[in-house]
Amino acid sequence: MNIMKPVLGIILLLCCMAAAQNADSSHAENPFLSSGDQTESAAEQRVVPREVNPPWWYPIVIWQKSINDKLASSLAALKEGFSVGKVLLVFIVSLVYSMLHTAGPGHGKVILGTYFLTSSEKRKKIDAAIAGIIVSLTHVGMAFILSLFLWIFLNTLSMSSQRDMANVSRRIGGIFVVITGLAILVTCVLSNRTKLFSGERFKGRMKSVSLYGIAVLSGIVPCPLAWFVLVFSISYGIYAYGILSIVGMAIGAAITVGTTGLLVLVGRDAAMNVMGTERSRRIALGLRAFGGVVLLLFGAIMVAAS
Amino acid sequence: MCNSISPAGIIERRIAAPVSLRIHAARPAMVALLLVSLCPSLCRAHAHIFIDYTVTAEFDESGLRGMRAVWTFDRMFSSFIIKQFDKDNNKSFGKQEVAAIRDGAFKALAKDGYFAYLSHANKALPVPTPTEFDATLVGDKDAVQYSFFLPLTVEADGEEQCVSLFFFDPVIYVSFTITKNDVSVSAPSGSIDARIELKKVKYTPRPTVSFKKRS
Repeated sequence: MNIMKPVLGIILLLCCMAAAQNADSSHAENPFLSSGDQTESAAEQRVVPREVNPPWWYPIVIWQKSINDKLASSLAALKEGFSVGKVLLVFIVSLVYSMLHTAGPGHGKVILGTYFLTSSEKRKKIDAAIAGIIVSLTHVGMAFILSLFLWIFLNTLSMSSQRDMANVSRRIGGIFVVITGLAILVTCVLSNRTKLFSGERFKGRMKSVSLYGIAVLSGIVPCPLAWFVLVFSISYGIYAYGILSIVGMAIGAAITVGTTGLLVLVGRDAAMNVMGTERSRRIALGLRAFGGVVLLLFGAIMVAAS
Repeated sequence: MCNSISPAGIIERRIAAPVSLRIHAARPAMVALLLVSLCPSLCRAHAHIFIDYTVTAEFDESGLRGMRAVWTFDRMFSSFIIKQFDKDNNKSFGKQEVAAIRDGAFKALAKDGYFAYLSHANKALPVPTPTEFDATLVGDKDAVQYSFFLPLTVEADGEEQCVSLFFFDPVIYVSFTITKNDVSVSAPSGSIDARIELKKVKYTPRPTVSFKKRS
C-alpha cells in the first residue's frame, strides 16, 4: 500500500492535467476567412500531399450536424409565428447543442482548469460553478455585444469584422493571461528562496490573482457559434429568438465549463488526499509552477494567434 | 469567500482517516477524471461549419479529366455568407458577388488544400487549383452552395485504375458529409468503362472512381 499511494496519486494528478488540457489550445479559426495575401495556387505548392484518417469519433461530429440543423429549423419556424412549444424547442436545442459544442477545444477550459489545478488555496465546489457561469457569459456575451455593435454602429456583420473583433479580444486576453502566468511562476520559483513569497504572504499574493478575473479572461474570445446564431436570427428578422437561443447556449456552456472545473477541483483534492502530507506539499508547489508555465504559454499563443 | 488552507493543509486535517477509506471516497472523482483524461480526442469533435458534398468524376475520350465537387453549407453559416455577399439582397448571387465570394470566402482555403484529399492507385496526389468556381443559393434560398472543378489528367488504359477524392478538415472546424447518392460519373459513351462508389475507410466514406479503357 505504501508504494500504491504515491503511484495512485501521481496517476490522478496526471489525469487532472490531461482533463484540464484536453481542450486543445490551438482552437481553430474560421478557415474561409481571407487574409488578403493568399493565392489560389497555394494548394499546388503543397508538394507533399497529406493522407489522413479521420478518427473513430468522427461520427459524433455528424450527429452534431443534425442538432445544428435542428436549431436552424426551429429558429426559422419562429418566423412563421409564435408558440410556446417552438420557443421551448429553440431553448432546449440551443442548450444541448452548446453543452456538446463546449466540450470541444477552447471555451476557457484550459485556463480555468489550470487555475483550479494549481491554485494554492482551498476552493469551494461552488467556485467551479460560478466560474463556469462567468466564462460562458463572457464567451457568449462578447459575441452578442460585439455583433450588435458591428450591426448597429458599423452596419456590417462580415466574417472579416468578426475575425478582427475576435483578434482584438484574444490579444487583450492573452496579454493578461501571460501576466498571470508570469506572476504565478515568479512567486512559485521565489517561494523557496525568500520568505517574501512563502507562508501567509505568499498565499495573500496568490489570492490577488482573482478567480473571477481568470474566468473573464478565459471567455473573452467571442463564441463563433453564438455569432452564427445571431447573424442567422438577424437575417430572418427574429432577433429576440436569437437572443433567447444564445441565452440557452450560455447556460449549456456554463454546465460544461463548470463541470470541467469541478472535475479538476475534486480530482486535485482527491489526489492530494491519497498522497501523504509532505509529498502533497512538494507536489502542490510543482503544480503551481506547472500552472504558471501553462498559462504563460497559453497567453503567448493567444497573443500570437491574434 | 476562500479561506487560505493549502491542499497540503486539507491533507493534514484528513490524514487521520485510513488510506483505503480515503481512496474509496475519492473513487467517483477518479473514475470521472480517468474518463475525461483518457478521451481527449473525443473532445475535439467540435465543428462550427457543416458541409454536405457531392462528387462527380468527369471523363473525356482519353481518361479522367477531373473531379467536380459541390458543397452545400448549413443554414447558419450560409446566413453569414449571404449577409456579407448578397449586396442587393435579391436572394441570388450575380457575377460580381460570386467573384467576391471566391476572393473573400473560398480562396483562403488554398492554404488547407481546399480540404481535398486526392489519391491515385493508393498514392496521394497534389491538390490542383480549383477552376469553374460558382456560388448559388439552394433550398429555400437559405443554403449556400459552392461548386468547383479539380482538374486532373489520368489517361485510361486497359488496366483498371482508381482515383479517390474526399474532403476532410483535420481540426474539425468544418465537418464534411457525403452519402452514396452524392457520387456520380460523367463519361462519354463507348470509350471508357467507369463506375464510382463510396469506399468506407476509417469511419468516413471516400468517393472512389474506378475506370479503364473499353477494349
